Amino acid sequence: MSAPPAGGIRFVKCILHPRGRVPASCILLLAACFLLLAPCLLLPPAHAALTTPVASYAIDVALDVEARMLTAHETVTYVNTTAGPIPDLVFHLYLNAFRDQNSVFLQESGPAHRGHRWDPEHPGWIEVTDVRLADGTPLALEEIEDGTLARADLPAPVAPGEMVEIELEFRAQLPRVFARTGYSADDGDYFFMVGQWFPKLGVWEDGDWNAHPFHANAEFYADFGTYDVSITLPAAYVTGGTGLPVSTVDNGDGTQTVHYHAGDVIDFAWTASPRFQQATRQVDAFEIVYLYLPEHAWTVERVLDAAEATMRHYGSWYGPYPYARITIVDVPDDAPGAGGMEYPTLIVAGTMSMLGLGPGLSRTGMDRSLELLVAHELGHQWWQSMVGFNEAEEPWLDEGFTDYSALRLVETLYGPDASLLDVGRFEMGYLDSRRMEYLMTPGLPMYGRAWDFDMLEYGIAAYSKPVVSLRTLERVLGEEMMVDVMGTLFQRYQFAHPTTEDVRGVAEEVSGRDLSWFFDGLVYSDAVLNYAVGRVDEHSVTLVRQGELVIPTEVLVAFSDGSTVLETWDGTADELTLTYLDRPPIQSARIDPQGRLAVDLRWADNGLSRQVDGYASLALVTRMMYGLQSALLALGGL
Amino acid sequence: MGRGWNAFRSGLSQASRYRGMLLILLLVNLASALPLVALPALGLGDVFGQRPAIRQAADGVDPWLVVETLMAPLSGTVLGKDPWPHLTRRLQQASLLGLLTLLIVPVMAWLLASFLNGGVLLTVAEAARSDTPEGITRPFRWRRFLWGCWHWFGAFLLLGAARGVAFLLVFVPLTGLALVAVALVGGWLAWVLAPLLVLLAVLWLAWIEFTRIVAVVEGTRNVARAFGRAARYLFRHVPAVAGLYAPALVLLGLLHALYHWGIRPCLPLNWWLLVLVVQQAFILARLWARLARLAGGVALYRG
Repeated sequence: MSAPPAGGIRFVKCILHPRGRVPASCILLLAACFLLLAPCLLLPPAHAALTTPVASYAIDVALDVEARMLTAHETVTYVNTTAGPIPDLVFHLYLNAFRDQNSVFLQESGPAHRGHRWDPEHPGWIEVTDVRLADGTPLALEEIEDGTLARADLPAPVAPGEMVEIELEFRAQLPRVFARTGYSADDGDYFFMVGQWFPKLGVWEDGDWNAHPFHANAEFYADFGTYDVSITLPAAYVTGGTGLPVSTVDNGDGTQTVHYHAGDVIDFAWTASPRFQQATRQVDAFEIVYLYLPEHAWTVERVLDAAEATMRHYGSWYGPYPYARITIVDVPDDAPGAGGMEYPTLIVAGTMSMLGLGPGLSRTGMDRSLELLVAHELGHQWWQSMVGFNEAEEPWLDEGFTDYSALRLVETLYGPDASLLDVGRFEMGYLDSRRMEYLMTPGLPMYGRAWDFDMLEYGIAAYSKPVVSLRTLERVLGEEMMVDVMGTLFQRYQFAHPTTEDVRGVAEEVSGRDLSWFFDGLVYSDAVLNYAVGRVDEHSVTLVRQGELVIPTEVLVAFSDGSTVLETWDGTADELTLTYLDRPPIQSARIDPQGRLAVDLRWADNGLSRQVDGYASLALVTRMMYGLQSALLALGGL
Repeated sequence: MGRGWNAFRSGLSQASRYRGMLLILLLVNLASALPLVALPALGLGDVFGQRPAIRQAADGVDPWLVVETLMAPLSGTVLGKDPWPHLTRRLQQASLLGLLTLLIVPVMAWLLASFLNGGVLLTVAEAARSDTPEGITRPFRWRRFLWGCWHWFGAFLLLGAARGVAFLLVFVPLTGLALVAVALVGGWLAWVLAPLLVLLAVLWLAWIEFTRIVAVVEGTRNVARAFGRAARYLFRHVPAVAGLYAPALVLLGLLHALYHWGIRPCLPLNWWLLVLVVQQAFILARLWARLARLAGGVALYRG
């Protein structure tokens, strides 16, 4: 027996959605949608709606602070914007990843995440106690895989253009902070970072639900929608959440209910602590809100400065930030596992050092981890929250584009040599740090599902290699063209779900070049590259390419009379000899003289002179000797 | 304080008179550093001598070069059959030698300081003991110098080892704790803890140096007894010792500031010979400042 889903109405497709089609729908359906969303329209809008919602959520949640338990009622409104019928619904129940050691997440992770261990005494879980259609028809929700997914068959498929509304009751136990979510306690004052906490639909595409169990390396993938979340919690708590707080009601019993509204987003996360202090800064049309803990007051100006610079630069490079607020959340020292995470219009920062140097150097500003973390997580507002890459299946896209953006930003702010560390005369650029990780396994393809990699490989495939590779692409295309490519990608795919091939299409279209070397060579395959000048004779230069990767480059040949020749080398031959019989003797040759190819395994062998550079050799020896003399003197007693 | 200041002035005067000894100290320092430099330098020169990379290396610490050097074995493996085994081998050797040098330098510094301090202190102690008229210095005597070096070598080795152990067991944990405290409590604490740590380090330096002075002046090789006497002396003459160490360390600080902020940035890379001469002059100036402090200590102790 087939019955239309309760509340099912036809729907006009979102013209901004590139995968959607224009169904033969009518204005009445649009009006119905309008009526449905009317309560939201009464709220102060954060911005004009940018896309038509696919999966929208209205959640009333109560936080029991002492039990660290959530009790909630959730209404999901889902619109089928695809061409085929949808027979069932698949929800993510992410918190069940922290229920016991049998979950996929904990099996894969050790159970530890980024150096922080899961506490079996304080697990996390979610239990859906009731699920039914809006008309009251009960549904059977069955946990599948490891319990981080649940499926409910519908009485009737949701037809293309139709909408279904589901009501759920659930309880969720928050874990002690682990893998970015949970609570920590500081003398009874709790800190809550509540992410991936509610039953959340997967993404229906290609005739099936794109929803995987919660894997240790994997992040998230969801449809855009509208969120209205009312949080009831003790009145003393300061909250932050995705979107904007539109009302706060004192319930008169020591609790308050804070109502958040967010449109055109893929997720909702929130935080609460009675110890939060708030710093704000208005930047053009939006506000930066920083919720920090008193012991981290030293971060306020630096975080706000970094956030403002980041938002302004990314806005000008890729496209404006369309929301009214961005919230940055600080984390307590006993909950570092909550830090370093992105949600729509909300990021979680923290004071951890990316170099593992402890907070001391970061406090001095010599270690730029604080600024880098802010720049990185804010980059996800563009490359994940708006351009909705699939973080689970193609993690290189969101992490790569985000981290490359952070690289550009910190280089703009601090210069390339000291963009990560600036300790007296010792400086280190962020690219150097990423390049070191890349050189561990440079042949690792970037493309792959998050769980195809182990922890180390994931870091290299999703972060380090993409940064090094995108920097190479930028240098080959030119900075302006790279900004054009990324800007076009953003404009074309904001509020959509592009894939690697979509990115390739945009990059090749905008640049007008065949970028096989990048996509086929670096993204999909294990090809590596090392260019070297093998030999310099009086009238000839021998160039060598090692590895299968081929990137066109330049060669600068210098002659003894001071003249130079700049050659172009397509790099296809393993070895190439350039001969100059009618010119003065060659002095030196250098491949890639502008240092464009960050993926080149060894820069040191890119140049060769016919003669030993005596001055430089002696200067190096002199410097080394002085260093040793000085050390001997100091260690012997100043 | 006045006694300490006078002792410092006397030390300066003595240090300036024993130019020959200063030169010996410089040459020993140079000769000790040379073999440590030679192997890595030859290795790097062999590989990089004709590579433009050497110019960047000579210009300062380039992280990318450090990264490539560290990762050379891995990148060589990735390339399959390494077409540049020579380069990979040399980079590996350079990494290992660099690591080895880091381990050797403290040992070398320990041996050198233990050996030379006996001779240096005996020379200045005997000069202070002899009643030569003002302006006429007792001539430097090689045999006495070497005898002093050898006579106290074992005792000062022991003292140096104790100093090293104390550094590892006391100063490193204390510094670590201070960093943790600053991180937990706040930046203002650094302004309290850093001067305290510096004061502790200076006190420790003075204690060790006065132990050597007491041993040589009293003619004993019993470092434990000298250590105890030095402690008593420091405790009873705090203002005088402060009057010596404050100007001596200020002088050292000024020399460093002049070199690192005033002279070094002006030195062009290509003028390596000038760089070498200036660097050696700076090392010599540091040795002179140290000799002045030690001679001042001897003068102070002898009263």
